Amino acid sequence: MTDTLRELWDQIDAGLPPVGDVSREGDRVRRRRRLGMVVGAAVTVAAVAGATAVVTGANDRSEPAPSVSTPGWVLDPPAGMRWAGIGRVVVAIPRDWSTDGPSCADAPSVNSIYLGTNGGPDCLATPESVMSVALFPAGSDEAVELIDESRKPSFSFTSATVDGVEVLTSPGVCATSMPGSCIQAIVVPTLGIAMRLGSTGEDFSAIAKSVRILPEGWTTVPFTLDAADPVPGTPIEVGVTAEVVEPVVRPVDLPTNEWEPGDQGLLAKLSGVLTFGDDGCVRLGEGPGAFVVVWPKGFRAETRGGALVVVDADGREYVEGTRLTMGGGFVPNRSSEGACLPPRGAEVASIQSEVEVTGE
Amino acid sequence: MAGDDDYAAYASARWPSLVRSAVFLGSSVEEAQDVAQTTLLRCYVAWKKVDRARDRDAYVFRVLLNCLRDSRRRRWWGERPTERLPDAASRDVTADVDVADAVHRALSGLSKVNRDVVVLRYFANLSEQQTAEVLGVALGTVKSRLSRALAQLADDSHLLDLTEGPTS
Repeated sequence: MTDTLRELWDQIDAGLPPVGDVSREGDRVRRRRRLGMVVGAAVTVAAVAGATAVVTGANDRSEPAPSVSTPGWVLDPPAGMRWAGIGRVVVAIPRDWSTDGPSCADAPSVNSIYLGTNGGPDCLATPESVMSVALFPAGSDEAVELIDESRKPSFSFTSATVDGVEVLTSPGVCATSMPGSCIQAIVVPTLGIAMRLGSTGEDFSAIAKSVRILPEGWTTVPFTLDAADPVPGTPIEVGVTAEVVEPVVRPVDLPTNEWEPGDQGLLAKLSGVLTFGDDGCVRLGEGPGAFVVVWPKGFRAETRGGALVVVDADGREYVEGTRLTMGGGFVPNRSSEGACLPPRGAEVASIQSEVEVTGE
Repeated sequence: MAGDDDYAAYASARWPSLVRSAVFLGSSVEEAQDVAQTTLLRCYVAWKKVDRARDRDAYVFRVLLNCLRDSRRRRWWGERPTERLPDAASRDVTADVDVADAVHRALSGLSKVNRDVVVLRYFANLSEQQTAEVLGVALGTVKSRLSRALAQLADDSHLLDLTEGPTS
């Protein structure tokens, strides 16, 4: 019996492996993720300066949900809900929803609102009962595609004016081939933003109907600076429309050793928050307990808009404020260069393992 | 870079198996190629993670199943009537359609979970342990599903037709 199937297996013409195309696209994705990290950091820095209290309160579920209030315009979230979204587009979601994003491309395992470009390859199980809102920023492939579809009659989007701005909403539909997989798209063409509501069968019409457009001078900001995993934000008043600009990048001196993955190394556990001192030195830890470390071969550092980013040999980035854990040990400093290193012969922490992010 | 060479060698070696597995799991050949390509892309972007995985094949096939599920979600969204057919000539896919159709008919008697386990174990050539890891189930579950699936296939009329040929 399986012989027959095996014959069919062998008859399938798989074609040539598109390794080159995949590598090129993969490199593009990596670059985009790195850029997303920088942009996320820049927006947060710009916005938090004028609205620290609002951002903090919004992320603390014990605090009342903030309302949006500006002269002549008040937007209170329904009971038990809060506003969240991207740019000037927000929806009301239950306050206990996660902002962590899915651990695999399109399938959050808990009720979530997340940037739709998130997603990794790590999960398999299809959740039993989950609702989600994926947010697609202006200019993203998904937003461009959905806005394009919204203009085609065959997609049957309906148009409405919300807060003076055109909002197009698709019908909510469920997949016949995948029971429990329902989606609905909301696009705001003039702002270039799109959302995709998803559920495993639950009614998400209340969320779809809650969409609002924040007034000019308001926007949403990310909750965290973790660029590789940006999360959607809550509305804040910034006084002016937020403008994302490419931050100034400046190299930072970073001492390195010759250790590479695969080499043997010292195994003492080193851990601390990545910090950048006023003296221009990169350290682990804060205050008097902070210490300079010598990083593995190929590591480099730079500031982007004033925020430190350490980059490893494979391009993985570690942002200032992130807790890092690695193996290594204290060895005599053999370098006479580098203003941040102790005198030649004095002990210095040398990292001799891969670096892991263990917290924010 | 050594990692890129490693990736290229691995991707080239696994490509046929990924495409054929996707067909056996319900895709057309064209969709299967898209899904396999997405799988390899996700693995490329996270290659360090794949490389560090305890079992690389188990990890990659797990990604394949995730991509298949995502693909099905998008497929029903993206399938819209078009006003006219494309003009561009393309290769004759009749043979692909015939083979995929035969596969789908042959496996139509299996439930999704049993089909997954048969495809991974017998055609993608994963071990029972790897299959269990990919599906996130216990080893005993893999064994019992395999046993049930093989019994179902033995009695399956579609597969019997293929094995015995048309009767006059």
